Amino acid sequence: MYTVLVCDDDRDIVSALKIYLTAEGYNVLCAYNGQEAIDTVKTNEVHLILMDIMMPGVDGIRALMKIRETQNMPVIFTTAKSEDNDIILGLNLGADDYVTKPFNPVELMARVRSQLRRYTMLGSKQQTNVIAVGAIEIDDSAKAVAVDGESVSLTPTEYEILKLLALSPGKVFSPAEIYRTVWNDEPYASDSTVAVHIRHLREKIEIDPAKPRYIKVVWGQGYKIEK
Amino acid sequence: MKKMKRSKAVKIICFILASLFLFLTCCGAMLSAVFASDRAPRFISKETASDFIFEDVYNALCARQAQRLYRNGIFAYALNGEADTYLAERPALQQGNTNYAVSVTDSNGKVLLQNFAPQDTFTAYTFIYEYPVETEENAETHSTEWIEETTASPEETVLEEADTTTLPGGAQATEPTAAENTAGNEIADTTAAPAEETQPEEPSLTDAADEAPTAGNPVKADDEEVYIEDLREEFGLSSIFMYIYPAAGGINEAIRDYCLTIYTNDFEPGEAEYYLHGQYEIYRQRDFAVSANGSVYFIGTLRGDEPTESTTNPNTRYESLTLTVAVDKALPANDSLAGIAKLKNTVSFCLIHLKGICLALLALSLVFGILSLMCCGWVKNSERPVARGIHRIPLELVIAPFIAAFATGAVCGVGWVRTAVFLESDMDGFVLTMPVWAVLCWWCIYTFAVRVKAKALGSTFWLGRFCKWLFALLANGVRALRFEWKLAIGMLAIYIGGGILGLLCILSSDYREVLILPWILWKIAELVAMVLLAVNLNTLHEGAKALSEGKDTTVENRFLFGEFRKHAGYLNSVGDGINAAVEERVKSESTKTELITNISHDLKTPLTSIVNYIDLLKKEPAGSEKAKEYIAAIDRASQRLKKLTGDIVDASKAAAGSIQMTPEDMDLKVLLGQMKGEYEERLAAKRLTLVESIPDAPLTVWADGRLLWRVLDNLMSNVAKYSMPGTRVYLTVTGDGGKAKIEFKNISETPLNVDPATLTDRFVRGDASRNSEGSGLGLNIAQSLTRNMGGSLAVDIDGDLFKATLIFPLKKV
Repeated sequence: MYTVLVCDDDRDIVSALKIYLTAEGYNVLCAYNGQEAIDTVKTNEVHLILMDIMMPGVDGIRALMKIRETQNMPVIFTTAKSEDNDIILGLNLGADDYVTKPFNPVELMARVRSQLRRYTMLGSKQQTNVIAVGAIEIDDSAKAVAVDGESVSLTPTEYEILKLLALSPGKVFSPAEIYRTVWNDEPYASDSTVAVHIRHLREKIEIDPAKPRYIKVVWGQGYKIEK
Repeated sequence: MKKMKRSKAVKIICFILASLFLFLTCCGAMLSAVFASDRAPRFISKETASDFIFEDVYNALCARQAQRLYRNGIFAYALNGEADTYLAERPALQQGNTNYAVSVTDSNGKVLLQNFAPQDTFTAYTFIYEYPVETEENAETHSTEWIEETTASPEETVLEEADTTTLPGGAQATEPTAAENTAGNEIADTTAAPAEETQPEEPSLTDAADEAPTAGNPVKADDEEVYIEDLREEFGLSSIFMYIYPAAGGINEAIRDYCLTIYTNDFEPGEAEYYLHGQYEIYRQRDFAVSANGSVYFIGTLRGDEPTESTTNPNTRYESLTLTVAVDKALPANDSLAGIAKLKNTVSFCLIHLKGICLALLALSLVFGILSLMCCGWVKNSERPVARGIHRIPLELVIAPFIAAFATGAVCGVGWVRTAVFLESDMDGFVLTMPVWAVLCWWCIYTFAVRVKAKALGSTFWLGRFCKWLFALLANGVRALRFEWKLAIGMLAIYIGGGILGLLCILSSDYREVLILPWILWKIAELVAMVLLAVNLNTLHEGAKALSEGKDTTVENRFLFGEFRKHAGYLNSVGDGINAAVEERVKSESTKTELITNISHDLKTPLTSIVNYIDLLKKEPAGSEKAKEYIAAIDRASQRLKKLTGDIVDASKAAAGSIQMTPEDMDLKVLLGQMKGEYEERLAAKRLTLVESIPDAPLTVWADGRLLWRVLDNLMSNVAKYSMPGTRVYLTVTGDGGKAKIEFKNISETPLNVDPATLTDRFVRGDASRNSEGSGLGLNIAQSLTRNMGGSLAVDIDGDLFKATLIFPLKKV
């Protein structure tokens, strides 16, 4: 039984999220501004925080900084600020995920699940032959892939692609490179085979394939996996 | 009328008639001009034309007839006593079927040959043949020789008109001549009067003498004798003359003219020079002489003979034969004389009424000319006049004959023209060939009219076209020059041109030593001034150019002076003003974007609640069918609102150009491959087939991949959203001329009832009803982003075909 703190100045949103989270089986605490959130965290054991940025009094950013002084539970920003700069700022300050309003509640729940799994699995020992990138674990001996501890079934091609990307996190592989390595063949120009497989892979691994966390598209260049 | 205009036959007939009448008019005018000139032949001159009809024609014709008879060898036949043979060979003469009676008598008045006796009403002309006799044998041989010669060259003999003084035998025959002449010819030459004193047997001539007893030149018959002797000495002839006795004045003029035309055929008109010998005009080259009283002397030589030897022989004496031609002026017989007389009368009539005829012809030619001009250019099956066929030949060729004629003085072929019309005139060639020129001129006017009507004048004038082309070429050349070159060349031309002129002036002056030094100093100063001027102008030019191109620069005023420095100041302040305005605008744009962003944030929070609660509502088990329907409607609306709040910020930012860009080298083909991968399933869901045409060569562009993806994503999502299911979508990529062109073509599911120009405006969608998904900002964002990246996006609609063309500059290799 995990406890989730929902912090938003909009009470409707808070109560809606409470419904969803309760339905998912979480214990829900509510806060309506940054200060309340800080106080709540001090007095309760909280496993995950959903927090808005723009709030009266202490805003989400400052509250996060304050909480991060003592706690390291996952924090997901749920905010209307959808600009790239805001997202980067939020993540840099220690947020674990960033969801822009208006969010899809189902997706948000998935992200909450994902973060909680990662948080609770933290410290579990690394096995040999396991490639880990973020929440993705690739067990090369078993040819099994798990995201946030949950196993995902991939086709052999998808598995090969994922492995290739995961072995060099941050490196951009062009579709031709991927094709050559995985298919062991010469690709022809503007082929979309790799792109199709990557998309399928994304749909399986990512919570929101349109805004992937791990397998990123570098448009016009290729694909990479985020470190 | 319109039909008539378009008829080819009418056109051709009008043109030909107009040309013909114009030609005739000009011929008449030309003849008039010839008559008016001093050198016009007398027999067609205006003053004598009327007399010529009634009187002179006979005289001239008689002289001609006499010459013909003589050419036939009539004297030889008569001398040899072969008169019957002569007549027998000429049945018409023998039977008297001629308008003239012929007789030949010797010195003693004995008739050697005669066809019939002339009536009293006949007009007689007497011609005398004089031949030298040295000894009996000589005479025989000489005459024989001469007879042989005559057949070959008749000109060697001389005919002499009746002279009663020297030839009393011919006096009877001359009587009717004189009588007729005085009766019929009122303008009897007074010079004839003194000559008549030697002819007392002619009463009518005495009358004439009475009329003018003291007038004229007292030319004696003896003088004629003396003159003949003189001529024999002058020309050293052994021979033989024909001279025409000035019995009744005017008649000799006609005969003289006739003789002139006969004898001058081979000569150019200007060569008829004569010199005076005593009272006589001697036309040496013409072999004839004219006395002061109008008598004409023909001088002949015997071919192969040596005349000088004969004249030195003192034993030479002369004998004569007299030929009388008596003409019946009623011209009853149908012989050549009558025919010629009739023809000449007709011609003379025409000549008298020349002016009237000319005017009539002119009027006719005008009428047909105007008709012709009205019809010209119109053809069947054409709404307006057209110039074709011969009217398309260059105008220069049409005008060329005139230019050539004026260049060469229009004298070509004039010689033969004169000879052909037997004119001895000082008219210039152009007058004589005027009819031809007039018709050519008319043709020019005609084709000109056609071209003007068909508006083809410029296009058929090749010189004009050539000049236009040349001018355009030069202008382009000058335009292509850079400003500094233009400036340098212009100034150098002025400097050098002025320098040379000045130097020439100084060198030709008397004070050159004094002036040369100031001149050199002046030129040096001028050079400095010009260089400064050029530098200043060029600096200003470059500065203004940079400002006009929107570069944020200031005009460098370090080297500028005076007014130029001020000018640079003005330019800079203009630049500053513009910069300020641009800044202002950017600021206002960013303010706007900020505002929109804030509004968007404020909208998002309540929207989140709406989205969440709708989702919760959907999960609630209770509720009627209608409630579910309503919830679905709210759900759709909230989804649209969600997209709109995001897109409106993007659109605003893209329009303001405040989106951060991190451009890098990227291969368009990779991007297109990624795009196809992303859209594969969405296209397949609508059964859309992607037909692609992508070149093999890499298409590298310098762009922000994320933004470029956004553009392609927007275009492609439109395709996926609005295409008619089951159709083909065309993706055509080309990389020519340093530009990559990406073309999307798809068939719209709903009719595209919008103007393509407004499609890229904000909130415009193809169906204009706003019922479908999407914010209507996709194309707008795509266009703004493309523009920000230095490309262009064009949208075109052709029926249901939607076409988006994306153009990006390729990276130069």
